[in-house]
Amino acid sequence: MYGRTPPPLSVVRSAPAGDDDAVLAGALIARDREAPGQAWTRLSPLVLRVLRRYFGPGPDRQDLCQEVFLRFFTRIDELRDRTALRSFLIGICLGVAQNELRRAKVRRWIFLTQSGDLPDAPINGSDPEAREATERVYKILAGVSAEDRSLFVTRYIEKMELAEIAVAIGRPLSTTKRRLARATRRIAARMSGDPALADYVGGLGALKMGKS
Amino acid sequence: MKVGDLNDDIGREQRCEALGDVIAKTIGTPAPGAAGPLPEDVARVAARRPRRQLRAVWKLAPAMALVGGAAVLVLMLRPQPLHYELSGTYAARDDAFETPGNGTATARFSDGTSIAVGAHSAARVRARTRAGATIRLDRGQASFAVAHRPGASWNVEVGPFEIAVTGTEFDVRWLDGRDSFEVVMKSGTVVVRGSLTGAGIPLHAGQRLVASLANKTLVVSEAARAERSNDVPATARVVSPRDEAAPPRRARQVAQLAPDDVQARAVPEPPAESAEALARRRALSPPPFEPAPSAPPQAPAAPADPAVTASDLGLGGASCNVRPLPQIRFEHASEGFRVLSGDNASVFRNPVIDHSYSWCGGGSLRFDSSFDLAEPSFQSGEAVVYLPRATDLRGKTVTVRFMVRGPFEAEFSARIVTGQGDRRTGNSYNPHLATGRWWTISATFHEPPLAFGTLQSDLHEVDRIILKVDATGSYRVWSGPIYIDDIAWR
Repeated sequence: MYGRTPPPLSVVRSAPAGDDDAVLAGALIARDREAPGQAWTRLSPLVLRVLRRYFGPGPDRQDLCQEVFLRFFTRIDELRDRTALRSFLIGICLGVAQNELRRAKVRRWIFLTQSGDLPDAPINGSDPEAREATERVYKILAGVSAEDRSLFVTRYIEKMELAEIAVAIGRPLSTTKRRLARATRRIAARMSGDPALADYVGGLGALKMGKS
Repeated sequence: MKVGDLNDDIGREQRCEALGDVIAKTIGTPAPGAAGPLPEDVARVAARRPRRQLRAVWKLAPAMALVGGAAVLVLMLRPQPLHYELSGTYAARDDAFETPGNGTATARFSDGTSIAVGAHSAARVRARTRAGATIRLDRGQASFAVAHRPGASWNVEVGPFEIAVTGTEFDVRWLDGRDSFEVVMKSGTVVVRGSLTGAGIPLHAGQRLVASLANKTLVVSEAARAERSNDVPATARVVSPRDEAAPPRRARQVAQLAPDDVQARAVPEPPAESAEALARRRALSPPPFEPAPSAPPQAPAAPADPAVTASDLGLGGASCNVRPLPQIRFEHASEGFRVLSGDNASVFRNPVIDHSYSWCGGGSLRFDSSFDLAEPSFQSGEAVVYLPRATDLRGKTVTVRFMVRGPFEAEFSARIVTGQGDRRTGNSYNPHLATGRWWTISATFHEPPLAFGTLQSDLHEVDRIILKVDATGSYRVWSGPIYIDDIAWR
C-alpha cells in the first residue's frame, strides 16, 4: 500500500449551472422520479429568496413556494429552452407573487387596518439606516404596478441579466428594456420624493464613488 | 436621446443598484433547507403524466363558440319575411286562394298591408320578403292597401302586367276574358309594366288605367285636374280655317257613304250596360272611365300608302252612322268653331278644312305639322279648337278622332285638354300611337272637389278643346299633316 503513490490531484471544473439545469429540466420532463426532489432541493432556496425580495421583510413564504413548484411541475412541458430553467421558474414565481399581492390588496380593502397598510414584520439587521431605507423602498414598491415591482426586484435586487428577465416576464428583450427603463424612472422619481431616502441614496453614491 | 438624459438614466440605475445591494444585504437569504423536504402533494403533482396538449382546433373552441353564438343571435334577430293571415270565404292551398261567386277574402300581412280579394277571384302570394311580397291575381279583382314603409317593395302580377308598389291603395281587375286589365288608383303611386306599357306607366292617385290586350289599347284617364297655363302664345291667333277646294268626286263619295237621308235613318241605341258591369263600375272610385261612346276604341289601320285616293273620305264606313253625331265634324268652316293658328315656328300651322281626307263625312281639319325631338319647342304640338260657344263639360266624355300622316317609324302620344279662360284641364295620355291610322281617343272630365273659397270649376264653361300631340320614340325629325275628323262630347 505504501508502495503505491496516489495519483496527483487535478482541478476538475464544475459543470455550468445551465448545463445542470438542462439536465434537471430533461429529467423533469421525462418524469424522472428523482427529479422533483432534486429540483426542490436545488431551486427552492432561489424561490424563497425571490419571494422574500419581492415581498420585503417578513417570514419565508413557504406556502407560496409550494404553489410555485406546483405550477412549475405542471407547466414544465412548456419549457422550450432547457438551459433557461431558472428564468422559467422565476417567471412562475413572479406570477404567483403578483397574484398574492393582488389578493393581499383585496384583503386589505376588506379587512382595513388602522393605517391602511399591512402590518410589517421587524427587519433584522445591524445597520439602522439600511433597515429604514429598505422599509421606505418597499413602501414605494407597494405603490407601483406589479410589473414595475417585478422588474425592480429581478434587476436591482436579484441582479438578473436582461435576457433572463425577458424570459421570466415572458416578453421580448426590447420590450423588457423599455419597460425596465420606464420602471426605473418611476421608482427613482418616487425615491427622489422621499428626502430621507434621497439623502441615504446620495450617501451611498458618494461612498461608492469614494471606494472606486 | 440627449447626453443629459442618458446621464440621468445612468444615475437612476446606479441609485437603484445601490439600493438593491442594501436591500439584498438587509433582507438576507433564507437559511439552507428553509423549504424543508418536498411536500407530498407537490411531489404527487410532479409525478403526474403531462397533460396532453390541446389540439389547435380545440384551442379555438371558445372563439368558435362565440362566433357560433353570434351567428345564432344574428339568425334569431334577422328580420323574418312578412307573414299573413287569410280571412273571409275562400279555398286555399299553399299560398294560393280562391273566392266563390258570393264571397270575398282578405289577406292581412304583418306589416299592415291588406289585400281584399273580390268574389269569384283567384290570387296567390308568390313570394314574401321582409320588405314586401309578390302577389299574383289570376282572376277577378282585388283592392290593395299597401302600408307605406321605407324600403317597402310590393309587386302585383296581373296577366302580362306587373305593378310595382311602394305604398298605396288601389284596385286591380283582371277580367275572366283575360284580356282586360284595369287599375284604379286611390292614393300613392304605382308603376305599371308589361304589355302595351313600354318602359312603364306611372299612375298617381285618382288615375285609372284600362288596357285591352285584344284591342291593343291602353288608356289612362284621370279625374279632372286643373293645369294652369296660358293657351295662346304671343305669335298665335285664333282664326276660322278656310275651306279648301273640294275634290271633284266629293259629292259622289259622300253620296256613296250616305245615299239616303242620313239624319232620318234609324239609329240603334248603344247596348245597355249589364247590371254586373254597372255595379262593378260604381263600386270603384274614382268615377269610372267612360269609353268612347260611339266609335270603336281604335280604328282599323289605314292603307299604308298615304296618297289621297277616292277612298280617303269616309273611311269610317258604317261606324259613321252611329248617333248622336259629333258636335264638331269639320265639314265646313261655317260650323262656328275657330282654331289657333301658329306661325311657322309652331309645330302645328296652316289650319284648313280638308275635303279630301276624313273618317266620316266630307272633310276634316288639317294642320301641317313638323316635329323635331332635338328642339324642345318642336317636340309637341297643340291643335286648339275654339268651340262655337262655352260648353259645360263636367262629367262629360270628350272624343277626338284624328290621324297623323307621316313616316311609319314616327311615334307619338296624344291627349285631350280642355281650356276655360286661362285654365286647362286634362292629363290622360294615350301613348305609343303610330302614324297613318285613324285614332279615336277620349277623356272623361270629372269636376274635382272645389277648394274652399272656389266658386266655379274649370269645366263649366269650356271654350276650347285641345288635341295635344307629343312626338315620342326614336324617330326624331319628321313632318306630315294631321287630320282631325271630329270632336264630340256627351
